[in-house]
Amino acid sequence: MADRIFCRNCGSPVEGSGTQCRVCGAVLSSSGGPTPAAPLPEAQPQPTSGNPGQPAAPGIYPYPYAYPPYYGVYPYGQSPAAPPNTQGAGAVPAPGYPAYPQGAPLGGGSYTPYYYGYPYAYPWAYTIPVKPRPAPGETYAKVVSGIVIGAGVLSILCALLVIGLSALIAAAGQFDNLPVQDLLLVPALTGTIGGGMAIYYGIRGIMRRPSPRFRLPHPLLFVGLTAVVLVGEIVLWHLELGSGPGPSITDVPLVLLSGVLPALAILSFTSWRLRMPATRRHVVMSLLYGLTLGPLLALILEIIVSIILRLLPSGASSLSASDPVNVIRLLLEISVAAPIIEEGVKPLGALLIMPRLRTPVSAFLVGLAGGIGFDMFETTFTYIGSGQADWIQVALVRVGAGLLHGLGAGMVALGWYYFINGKGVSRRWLKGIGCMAYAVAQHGIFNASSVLVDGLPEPLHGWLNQVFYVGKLPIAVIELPFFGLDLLILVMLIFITGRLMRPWNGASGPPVPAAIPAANSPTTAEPAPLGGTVR
Amino acid sequence: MISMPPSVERTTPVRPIPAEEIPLAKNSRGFFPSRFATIFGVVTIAATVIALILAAGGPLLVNHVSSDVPAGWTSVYDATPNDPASWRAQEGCNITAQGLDARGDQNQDGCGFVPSQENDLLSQGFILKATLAPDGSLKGYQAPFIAIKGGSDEVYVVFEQSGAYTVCINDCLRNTLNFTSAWHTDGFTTNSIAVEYRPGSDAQGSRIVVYANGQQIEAVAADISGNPTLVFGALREVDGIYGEALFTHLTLYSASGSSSSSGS
Repeated sequence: MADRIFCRNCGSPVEGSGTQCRVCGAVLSSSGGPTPAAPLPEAQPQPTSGNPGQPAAPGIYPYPYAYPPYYGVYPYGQSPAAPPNTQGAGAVPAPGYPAYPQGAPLGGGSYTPYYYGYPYAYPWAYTIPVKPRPAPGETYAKVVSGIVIGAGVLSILCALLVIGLSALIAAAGQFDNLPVQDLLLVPALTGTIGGGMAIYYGIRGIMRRPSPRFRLPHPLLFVGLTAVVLVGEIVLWHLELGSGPGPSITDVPLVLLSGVLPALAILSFTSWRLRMPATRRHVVMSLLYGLTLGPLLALILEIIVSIILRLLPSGASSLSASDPVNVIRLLLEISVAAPIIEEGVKPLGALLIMPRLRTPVSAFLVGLAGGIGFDMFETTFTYIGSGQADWIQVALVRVGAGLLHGLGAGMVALGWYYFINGKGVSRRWLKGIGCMAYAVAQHGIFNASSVLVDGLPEPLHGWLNQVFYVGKLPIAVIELPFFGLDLLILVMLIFITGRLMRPWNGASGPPVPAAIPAANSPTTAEPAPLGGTVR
Repeated sequence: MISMPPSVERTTPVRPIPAEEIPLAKNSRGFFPSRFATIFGVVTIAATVIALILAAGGPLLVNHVSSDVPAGWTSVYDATPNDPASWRAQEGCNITAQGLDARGDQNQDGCGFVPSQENDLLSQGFILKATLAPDGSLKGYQAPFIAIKGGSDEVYVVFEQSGAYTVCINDCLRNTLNFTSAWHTDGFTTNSIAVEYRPGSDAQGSRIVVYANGQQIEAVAADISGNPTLVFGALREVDGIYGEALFTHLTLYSASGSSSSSGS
């Protein structure tokens, strides 16, 4: 029954015959007792193996639930099933216990009921089953699962509403329009699929079913499929120049894939590079949050900010060097407000489960998944369809957008990790703020570039507004600097993930990450310093 | 009443927390590190193949402008419309080397096509193909229209660079804009408009069929009997920018025409 053992300090599985928990660093050997990364509270339970009377190796829990017999509140008297009488009248005292004449009158013919609680109970069979107390953080996890189920139901209802709207528009003959199809089909698909998966994972979360490790296929598969989709569409675009295009609805699956596949390639790349450090439930739920609720929240907040900023006096409706107020307003809107809002909103799914994440790499990956989901929605919902017959050009330009959104969300989640789980980490507030500031700055610079290139002086402006051709497909030269920015962000992603994995790759063994903080938890230890993580 | 000492509550056994994942010691070899990854990968590959097939087969699902001209029809014009003799001299109808540049802010009525005014080239049936310069080569906003005026019904075919279009019979005020994904909106690719009229050709009677870049986007009942003429122009204004259209090539096949013109 007790096939797997778990660290009693942090609950992580202990593989093989290791003498130290890979997660919290607690020493698992039986010689000197448990030596956690930080001192354990005094009221630690003393778990034993499933064999009554046989103490387990200190620091190790047998699993699942192979606890020693528990007697709970055991009133005076002897357990009917208790074989040897050690407590009753004339009983032989258990080793280490003084002879205690229970059953015999005490002082004046009365007695005081006495209760033996674990671990001082009788080390043999019992009759009163007691449901184990919830694990630390279990209630929180169930509340989160309930929220996820609620969001899933809401998501499906919204999707059904959108599907009804699509039917009305189709009936009115206005549906053969790629932007409209994207506007309707993307929320309908993400709402139903995301909502359904949210309910599934929410129910499994409430049932406390364990989730397997998140493993995607190798990133080269997604890179290859992305290339197939983009090259295939470039070929089709050329063919249709002569023969004429088909109905836009037949392009929708390719449009969706051209937005989803590059994003999956980035997620897979990061996951493989971090050696898959999170559960499928956490990564998928963060991704789905980024696909559904995240963009909705961002949209609402950005509309509010936009309305406020438009109260600023401005005479021009577009960017004009002669109207500095308008330039400032635009820059405030797209390179300050939008990055703060989007980088704040994208990792909220990861933030919700942050107390469950025990390593910076997990936090980074789960946060990045939220950004990837956000990018998938933004790219397919807002951008690609606007290209109409030339959507392939938009898809090419947006191929690296997942890097911006993914790395940004991962960094913000990392910042939250230091704030919430990083107790004991040196300068953790500075690190947390630094991670978040990087994400906002990266996004702000990217967005500001798209505004400022319009204000460049001639002949630079004219040169950037030229096109070059892939076959007959025109690509604006102005997009090249943004490809360069994407490349820089990819380099940053490689650098950050490399730093995050440095302690896991080191010869000195695994790092000592923070334990899951849970108040009033007998398994709570002080988070240990994150040796060798991002500095 | 039995009270429970605090020590009992404190020492109640606790279920272990389902463990969170930490990085693997080593990544798996191969493309598919788990059954989930295998299924996910296979589904993704299948979806990609299906999406490509669907997109490639899409053009088969719609009608396209025929490259075959009906027997008896003749090509009455097939040229770059930069010959002044073919156009009424009007403000806003600029004859350039590239073709006819119509500016909507200078002339909202459009530029009359002289051959259609001198001969009845339309009422018995016609196919008109017009090629436009890319929006990026214009100073204004590309918003071309082709009108068939003077017949029993007046027909306007109007496009905008965004892919918005409308085909209106006699009255454009009450028409709403439709959108077509057949339109190239990138500003660097040429677009073409084709209009076909075949009087009483089928059970649906006389119809005007409109194509964008070869794809049929609209078919409306219309009767242009009489002596209609062709007019090419641009909308006066779109979003604060004057409308413009540079027609770089026109081809007109007529059921009743006999003259043929070819230019540069």
